[in-house]
Amino acid sequence: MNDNPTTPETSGGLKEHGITWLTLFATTGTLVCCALPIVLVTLGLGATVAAMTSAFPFLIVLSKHKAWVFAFSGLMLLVSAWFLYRPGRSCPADPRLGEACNRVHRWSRRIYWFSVVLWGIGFFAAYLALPLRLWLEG
Amino acid sequence: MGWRAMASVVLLAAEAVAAAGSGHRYAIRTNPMTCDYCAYDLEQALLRLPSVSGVEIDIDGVIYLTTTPGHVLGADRIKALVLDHGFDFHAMTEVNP
Repeated sequence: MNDNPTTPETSGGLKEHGITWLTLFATTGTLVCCALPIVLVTLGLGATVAAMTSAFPFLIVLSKHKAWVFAFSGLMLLVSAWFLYRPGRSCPADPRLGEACNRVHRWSRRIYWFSVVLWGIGFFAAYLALPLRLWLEG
Repeated sequence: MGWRAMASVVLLAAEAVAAAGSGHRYAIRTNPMTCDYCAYDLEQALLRLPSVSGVEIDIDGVIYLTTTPGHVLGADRIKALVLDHGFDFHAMTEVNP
């Protein structure tokens, strides 16, 4: 019996888990660049946004290139989806390794869908909130 | 009074009427406006001020404000509005209309 849990199957699972975390990181960027300022300004915390953009000028860069931010994070979501739901994906037959593999997969799926929600919120804030408001105002 | 003197008086009067009839125009410098939604919100808030007749926003960080005739804008009120909408207030200067 192999005591080393890093078999080809589990290392694939860890790679998929790593990509899912990277996806979460990328989609968080969409939230920070585009949804957070709107939420804070709506809550009357505009001065906080002004202070944040002064302290972290990369937020302005992120917002200026939001199309690329969304494209990259969207691509990462597609890559993650392929890793998570690709056909023929399997876990080791060994019960201990199989359980570990399933646990990693379960958490990867949770993080993936959380990332999808973050990306959706960011996309709504960046591209739909203003047109929707203009439409509602007539 | 000769015709030259009369023409000068008429011209001066016309200039005075024009000066009194046009509002002031200000340029407000901020950081780049990367949040479209916040910029629109700020534009609406500025337009709600009774002394403001026009607002133009340049997303690179300049807001042009025109006031109604006879009104002068104070920087403090504008600064508070700009900050409340998530932008830094750098300067406010009067520019030629």
